[in-house]
Amino acid sequence: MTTQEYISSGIIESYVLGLATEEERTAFEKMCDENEEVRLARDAFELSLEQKALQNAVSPPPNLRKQVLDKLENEKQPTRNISGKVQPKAPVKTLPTAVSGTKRTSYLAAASVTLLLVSVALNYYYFRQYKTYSDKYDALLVQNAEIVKNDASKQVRLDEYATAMQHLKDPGMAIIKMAAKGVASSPDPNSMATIYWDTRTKDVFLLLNNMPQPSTGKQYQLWAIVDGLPVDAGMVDMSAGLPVAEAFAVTLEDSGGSVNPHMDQLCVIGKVS
Amino acid sequence: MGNNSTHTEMELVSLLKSRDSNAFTYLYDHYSGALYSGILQIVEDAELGSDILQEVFINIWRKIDTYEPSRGRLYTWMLNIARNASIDVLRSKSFQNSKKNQSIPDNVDMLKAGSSLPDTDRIGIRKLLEQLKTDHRVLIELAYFKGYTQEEIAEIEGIPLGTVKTRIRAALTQLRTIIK
Repeated sequence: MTTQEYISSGIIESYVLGLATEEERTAFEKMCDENEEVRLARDAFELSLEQKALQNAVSPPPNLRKQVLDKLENEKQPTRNISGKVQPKAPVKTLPTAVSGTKRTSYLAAASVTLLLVSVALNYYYFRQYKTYSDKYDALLVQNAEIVKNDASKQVRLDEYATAMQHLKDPGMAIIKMAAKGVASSPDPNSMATIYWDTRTKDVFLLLNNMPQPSTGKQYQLWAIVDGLPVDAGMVDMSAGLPVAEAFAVTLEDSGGSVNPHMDQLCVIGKVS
Repeated sequence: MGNNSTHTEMELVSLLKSRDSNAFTYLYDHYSGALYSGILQIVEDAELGSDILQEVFINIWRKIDTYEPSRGRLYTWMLNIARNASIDVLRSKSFQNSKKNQSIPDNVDMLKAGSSLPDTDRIGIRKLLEQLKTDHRVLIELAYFKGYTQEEIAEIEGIPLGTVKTRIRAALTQLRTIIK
């Protein structure tokens, strides 16, 4: 390649415009040192480029001039200190970073304190909730135990009623109504009691439908009339087997009962049908 | 004339290397427009361009000791600093995001209003590009204004790396004749 060919290869423009690779630059610079013609061609291109650029100059904003020159004056300061050493620019930059670092740390600190407060508040809230529900739970446990107990006693009573019902429904059960009608000695003409007499087992059940409360020391006594004579059938709330009877009557006797009824104290009477 | 201006530039560089304030003021007054134009052709945003221009001058101040006059003119050196800074911004995440966030109609209105933003298609190297063949122009656009490497361009355009190299070289040679 002749010098002329080299000059017109585009390497000069490539180098001047900053498009050449590192290798090309090194080779070109060597060429310029060795070949005056190449160097002059480079100078010529640079000069024409510069002149074009000056012709096409665009004025920057006018206020920029003072700004730039002031900045350059500031750049001067560090070079004129006693040691004569150029102060690195870096420390000036580290200050704001340090400040912003502190800032970030304090932001983080503030954030963690906030989070802590929120956490404490939530902990308290949830503990309160826990306490409330725990208390409610205990109350429910007690209530539940009570209900179970009630239920058991009700079950017992229900069983009793069921048994009674069984007796009442039994076709072998004789029902004798005892009324106060025609009984002059009865304290209340509306008094009424009913005898349920199991004709097979001979068990006697007495139901006091409407009997006045006996005075203190007195007690109702049930009598069965067998063969025209009254037989003690027990104090009310007491029942004993009775093989046969024509009628039943209730008298008011002294507590503990009497061997023979005071017929003047007859309250209700009913015939076995 | 060439000799004279080189001498002047040598004096200027020597003053700049001693961090002479007046030399930097002269540098700004003389070159800020050319560099600003070069920046705008890449970032196409007046405000962003101003920020980059300021950064470029600070970098010139800091790096002036590394400038090697035997390797090229001062302007060429500064233009490369400006181009690199612009492409860095172009490729930065925040710039990409701001581009994405701009809706297309807004963008068009902004360009139409164009108060502070000059028509960058009409200036500098972009203007020169118009005179290139389309397939050449696209490659220069990608290489110079977007800062892609030739390998990246080959991938983007789906053409062999060798073709990319040949076309860029051809386009650059043409560019020189146009500039002259």
